[in-house]
Amino acid sequence: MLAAVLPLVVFVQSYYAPPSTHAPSISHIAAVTLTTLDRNGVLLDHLSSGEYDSLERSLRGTLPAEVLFHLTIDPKDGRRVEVGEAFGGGSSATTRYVLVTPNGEAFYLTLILWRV
Amino acid sequence: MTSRNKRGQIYILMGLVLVTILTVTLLASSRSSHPSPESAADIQMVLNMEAERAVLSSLAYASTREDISVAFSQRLRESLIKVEGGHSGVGLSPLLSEASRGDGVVSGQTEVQLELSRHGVSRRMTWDIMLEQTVTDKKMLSGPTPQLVTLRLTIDLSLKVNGASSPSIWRSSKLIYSSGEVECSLVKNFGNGTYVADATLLAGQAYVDLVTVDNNNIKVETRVSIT
Repeated sequence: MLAAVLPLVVFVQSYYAPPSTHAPSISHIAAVTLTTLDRNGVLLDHLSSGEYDSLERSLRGTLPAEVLFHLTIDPKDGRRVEVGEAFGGGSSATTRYVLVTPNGEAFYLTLILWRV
Repeated sequence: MTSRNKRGQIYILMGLVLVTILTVTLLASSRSSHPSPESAADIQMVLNMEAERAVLSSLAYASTREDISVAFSQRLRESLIKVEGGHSGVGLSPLLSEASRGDGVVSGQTEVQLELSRHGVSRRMTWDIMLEQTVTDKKMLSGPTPQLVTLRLTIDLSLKVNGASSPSIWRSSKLIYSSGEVECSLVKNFGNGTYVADATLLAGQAYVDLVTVDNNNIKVETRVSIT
């Protein structure tokens, strides 16, 4: 009986086992993506000028192909903008990010990432 | 032990194994449907960059003001409050901050206390930022009329953050002189922080002030002698 059950246990464990610790977690990818875009000045440029389509393209170009994203941009005194793919639920990572521009305007970003 | 007892034990064992498998499966599937949590290292990386942007933005604002150090401190405090507002359980307090400007240099120094209550993190972050502009070459070209000359300047622009220097990205320059000001047009971008810019102005100026704004919106001013 053990011979019959053991393969099943191994299968379940391998199927649900967490990914290798060497692979970056999706929340780590989100943190790196936003900080890199900010460090390069890309985030400030696109947010200050309201070029949200360009920001969407920059994000798409930075993320791995198998990772999808949904970005919500909440200017402090403005209308909410959403870019990226529609998030249908499931395993994901959410990272919040605040960018303050030189004129004192604050943009509150919420980035949701998930794998295809 | 009878064969009936043995069979009963096997059924109990099988039942236990199945319950274990079911528990593991349910646990794994319930965990995977939740957002994966941010690690302390990731949230610190995000807060570090957010605070650095707040410092850069505050220096950019202050670089346009006469009272640069006061403006820097006030704006930084306001900006850090805005950053705190975007996260729960995060405290960012400026401990000391000062800014100054000189010929071809704008700099700001600050120390920020970070408290991350959810992860039990408490640490100090420091920034020493300096934008430096150097005119490495200047040429006088003939202008469209005898009264006008074109000044061609080669400009080196670098941003130093905590001792690490990198080429800064030029956004715009203008020349201010006794009888007015004129925008510079970019002639060449070498891609390493060196730029060549032209501006046409009235002939006979002894000096001009080259005012440049970088991609962080930090303004830096250099006096250029043209005699």
